[in-house]
Amino acid sequence: MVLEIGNRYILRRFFSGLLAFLLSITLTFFLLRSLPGDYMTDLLLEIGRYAPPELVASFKHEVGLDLPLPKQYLLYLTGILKGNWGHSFEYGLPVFSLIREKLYWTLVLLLPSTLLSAGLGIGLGACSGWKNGSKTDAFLLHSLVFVGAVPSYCWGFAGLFIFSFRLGLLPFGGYVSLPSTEPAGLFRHALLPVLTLTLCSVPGIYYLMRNSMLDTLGEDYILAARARGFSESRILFQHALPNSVLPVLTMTSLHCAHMLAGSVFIETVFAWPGLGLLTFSALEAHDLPLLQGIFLVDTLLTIIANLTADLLYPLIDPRIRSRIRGE
Amino acid sequence: MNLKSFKFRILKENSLQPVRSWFCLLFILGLFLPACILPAGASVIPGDSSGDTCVSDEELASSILSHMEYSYLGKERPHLSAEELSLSAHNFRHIPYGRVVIPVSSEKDFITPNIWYKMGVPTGSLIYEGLVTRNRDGNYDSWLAESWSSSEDAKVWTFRLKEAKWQDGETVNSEDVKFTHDYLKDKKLKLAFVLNSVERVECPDAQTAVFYLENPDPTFPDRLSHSPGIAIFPKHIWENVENPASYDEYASGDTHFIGSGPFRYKAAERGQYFLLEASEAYHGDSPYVKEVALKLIPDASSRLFALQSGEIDVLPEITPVEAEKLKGKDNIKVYNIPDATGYEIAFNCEQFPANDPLFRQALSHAVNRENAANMLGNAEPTETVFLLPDLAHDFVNPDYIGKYDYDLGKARDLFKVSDNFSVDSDGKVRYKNGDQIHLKIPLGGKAHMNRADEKLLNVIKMDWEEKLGFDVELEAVPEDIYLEQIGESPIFIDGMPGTMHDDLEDLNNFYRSPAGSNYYHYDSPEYNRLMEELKNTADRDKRKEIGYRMQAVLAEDVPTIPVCSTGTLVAYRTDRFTGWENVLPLQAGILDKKVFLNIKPVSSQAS
Amino acid sequence: MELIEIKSLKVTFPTEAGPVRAVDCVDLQLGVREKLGLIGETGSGKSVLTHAILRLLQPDALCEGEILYQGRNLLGLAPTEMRRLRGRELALIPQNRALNPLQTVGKQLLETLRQAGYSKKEAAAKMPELLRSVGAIDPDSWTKAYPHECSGGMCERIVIALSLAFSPSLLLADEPTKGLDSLNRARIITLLGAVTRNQALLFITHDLEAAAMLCTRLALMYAGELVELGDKDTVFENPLHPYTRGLLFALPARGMQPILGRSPPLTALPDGCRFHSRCPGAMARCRRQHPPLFDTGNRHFCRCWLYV
Repeated sequence: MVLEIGNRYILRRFFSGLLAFLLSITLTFFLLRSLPGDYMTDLLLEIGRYAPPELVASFKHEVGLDLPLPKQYLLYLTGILKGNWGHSFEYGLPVFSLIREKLYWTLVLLLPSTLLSAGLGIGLGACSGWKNGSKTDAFLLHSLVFVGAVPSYCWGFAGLFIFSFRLGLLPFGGYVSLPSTEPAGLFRHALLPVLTLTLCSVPGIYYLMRNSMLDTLGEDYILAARARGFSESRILFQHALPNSVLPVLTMTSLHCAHMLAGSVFIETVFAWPGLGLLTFSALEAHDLPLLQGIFLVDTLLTIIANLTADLLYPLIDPRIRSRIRGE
Repeated sequence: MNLKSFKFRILKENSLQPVRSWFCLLFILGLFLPACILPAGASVIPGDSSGDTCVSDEELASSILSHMEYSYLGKERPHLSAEELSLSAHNFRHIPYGRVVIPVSSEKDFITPNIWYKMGVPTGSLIYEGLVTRNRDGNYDSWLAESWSSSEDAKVWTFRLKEAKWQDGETVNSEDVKFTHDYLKDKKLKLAFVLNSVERVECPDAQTAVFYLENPDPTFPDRLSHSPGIAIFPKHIWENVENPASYDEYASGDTHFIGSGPFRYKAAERGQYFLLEASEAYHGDSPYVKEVALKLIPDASSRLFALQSGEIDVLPEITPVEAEKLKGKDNIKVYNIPDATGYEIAFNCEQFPANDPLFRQALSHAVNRENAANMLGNAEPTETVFLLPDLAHDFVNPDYIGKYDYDLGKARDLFKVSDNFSVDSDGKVRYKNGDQIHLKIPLGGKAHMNRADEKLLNVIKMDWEEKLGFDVELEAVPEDIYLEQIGESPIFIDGMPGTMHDDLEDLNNFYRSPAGSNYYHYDSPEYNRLMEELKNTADRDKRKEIGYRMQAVLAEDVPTIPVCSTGTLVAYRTDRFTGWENVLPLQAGILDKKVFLNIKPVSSQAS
Repeated sequence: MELIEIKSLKVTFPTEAGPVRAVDCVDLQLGVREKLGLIGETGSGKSVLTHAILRLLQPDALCEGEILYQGRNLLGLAPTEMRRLRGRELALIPQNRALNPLQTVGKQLLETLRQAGYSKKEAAAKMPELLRSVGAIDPDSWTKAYPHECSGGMCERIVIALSLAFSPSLLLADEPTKGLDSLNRARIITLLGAVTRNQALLFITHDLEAAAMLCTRLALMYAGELVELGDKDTVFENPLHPYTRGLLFALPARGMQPILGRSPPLTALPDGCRFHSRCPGAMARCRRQHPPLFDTGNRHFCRCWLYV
């Protein structure tokens, strides 16, 4: 199938991805260096001292921040190519392994919640669009408008308040309990954050799916299928759903990539040390190598998600497939 | 009319308005009703049959006796709970019992021995110890050092070590002290700047470590004590660590968290918790609590929940608003650790108009410290000529307490005397040429945490603008150019968070060395001479006397207006541990060995 | 007996601006194998009429009157009964060559043939035959193609094939020649004529010439109403309604003079005759009074005050 798409297409997507990557890391490199403040000054302020200038200078020298910018940039680029992403100031660990660890925990939340919210959003959206104008549609639309209007932070709190604080059913955030306390598995720990994240992503997917379904239902081939006497379920599952789900799938994959660093609130509320929380603390501490690494990973993942969508789309949609063949 | 436009109408907002409102109501009710009806889980203390959260002798005896009775009678006895046994043991033999759980707001608040963290290693760490520590009475307590003395010129400091053991069983000796010094400097660790003045460390015998300083330093023990202070590391562990800056201590677990303090490493999960247990090998009194758990809860509201549900036992560093919320809640008490952070309005004594001593004196009378302190909540006005009088004890010269009271009349009189200013009939102060006095105050730096500077200045600004006719402009400044900015501004606001060193050492802030400067750009020959004298004086009484004279100079020159100092508010659960208020930590936050050596499980009070 | 008989059909849609009547009091009969051309501008209600016959309008559309198919009122049938009639008895050739873009032509044909009651094997065997009947020379290459890979004429043929899969007794063709070049248009019309030899055809178009080539009777709709109804030759030789005349004069062969103005929106219909604002011979009465459909004899009907 891939061969059918054409190597030229893949190659072109790949190179445009690479270009976007280079552009993005260059931009973040210079942007991060134009941020006000530095690590040492901040660190010392926390213990209530102004950093002695010679200490700041020696620190900058040690980590190479006193070199001219082009030279730093070159070192950075060669470092990335060699797989050396530097050491975090704050944690003293290699940036790559630190991010890998946090990314794992982010994905533990993100993957199930993406699958859940995609399933729920597509299901409810399709149902709502299909029964447009009915009471079910009105009920779904209004409840999801409400769900979407409440910030994720509040949902997280409501969940914590009810299930952990009042009912004591679920642990209070984190992914492990303290040793020898009530033994709660990863499932019980992840349940609330995953559900909250799902709850917050469902409305977006739902709106998109509902609109897409409405558009599809307005198409003449749906009318034609009805005119041929096909059963309603056949029309829904064979014709309406496959056509309306296409744009939603692309959006969902991009949304997922975006959420990697975007779930700071959920991670904060549930003490879930993922990439979002890491980004936040790295920003706070001016931990340059770590920030660079995080943005690098974000960029990479976004580009990979885009690339995957680009490569998958022709497999699903014959129109795009032949457009590529035409190129 | 096109058919398509009919086909699918998007639902209209107005037609469903009533639906939406009942719907929201139902949603909210559904969410919170069950939560309100159901009670919060209560913690049960083993052996506490009366439910008064204390286990009395009687309760304890009956719970143990019942087991014994069964065994005498040869009856099948109910399961003997390990919990109950450990509690009885604790009550009778003072074997550490219970786990105290403390929240931390960020991962870096976990103990990291290689990179110093927030409050410095020796005081804030429960695992590692320094040689000596300051207490709130202005004296020193011993940690690893049994006794210490200095040479006449305060250049050679000799510390005699206690018979202590590392938590892995090795003996602590003076080589470890020397190793700590050498290691910090060899590896160029950030902490090394504390020991800048040390030329070398020698170990004449296993229990004696001698520090040779390059310059006399009568306050050397203070330097070692805290903020950040120097902890002593075990040589046998750390000599194998080539690159401490990039060393993952979690990966090597318990072998590398070896200290000499009252608690030892038990388990940890990066980004989740850090669990310590009482160390049997500790050279001092063993702690009453068996385990201390630091748990990451980054969100402030989640921390409040956690305290109320009993998930955590103590919640340090809460805001006055949060304290108000917690007041009156069952089993929760809030207390204040005074004098955590001081705030001052500082002058740049070289910039016009602050270069006029009369201007500075006049403004000293124009600061309503009472109001400003109220603005911050848990704050006390400061009446002295330099900050943190509560820690300074008898070093504060009583002659100058309250010298500059809030009195705009006196302020105006002082302005009148000055050649630079005039005061018109409605009490408004102008420059002599009639121009309005314009003051631009940069916001940032140490006083900016929790936006305290803004709150304080808004009170003061109102006074100065309405009653004295100034034009005051507040401007937030990025951290990296803040220092530059206050160098150019005649007036700025500063804070001194938490950690204070030797009280008279703080007077050093106004000293101008022949080469250097100070933040106030203050330069008084007499003051400088006194400071140099103070630095070379080790005798306490003499130091005090010099300090008095220096304060007299400051009272006249007013390079700064101390305004107020805030405390640290701490909430704790009264049904879990007690004794929090008995020992006040030296610095903001409660992570302090002395605090954790002092607290007891609530049920042990009865015995 | 007539195959289908529409009696004073009214179709009303609820809209934000109040109810809108898209089809107003239409009476039509169509005999077995009869071919009727339904002509009108966009929005005149001709598509709504066909969808009303098939009952494919949105659920909140209100249909009044009667649509008798072989004596049974379609508007009173249960949804399942109606569904059984669709395709099998009443087939629709929808607008815009409506094919599912994600499925190959073969798959859609197969699905339709299966719906028409053929077994898998029969359907596979029938498919090339069906495609050949609409003019495919190489049916196999057609079945493998996706709709977007086919030309407009090809798509139209496929859509016709799809509706012929059932061999219905009435074919409703909704603007099958829309957007085709003249060569393809002629081919499709010829094809339609050929394949509906044994079926009745309701041919909806705004193209008078196409209707003339294919149909025996013509019905003209304007703003939801029938304005003229008669045999093809009668209408062409002796158009009665000014609107019909206007349309004829707009044909290239007859001078290409377009009718001035626009048809009124259904939400704001004028009093009196709905055509009066564009009518060159409008009288005072036309502005005040709405004309009924007058029988002018010779099975020719017209809605104009000229024929009282």
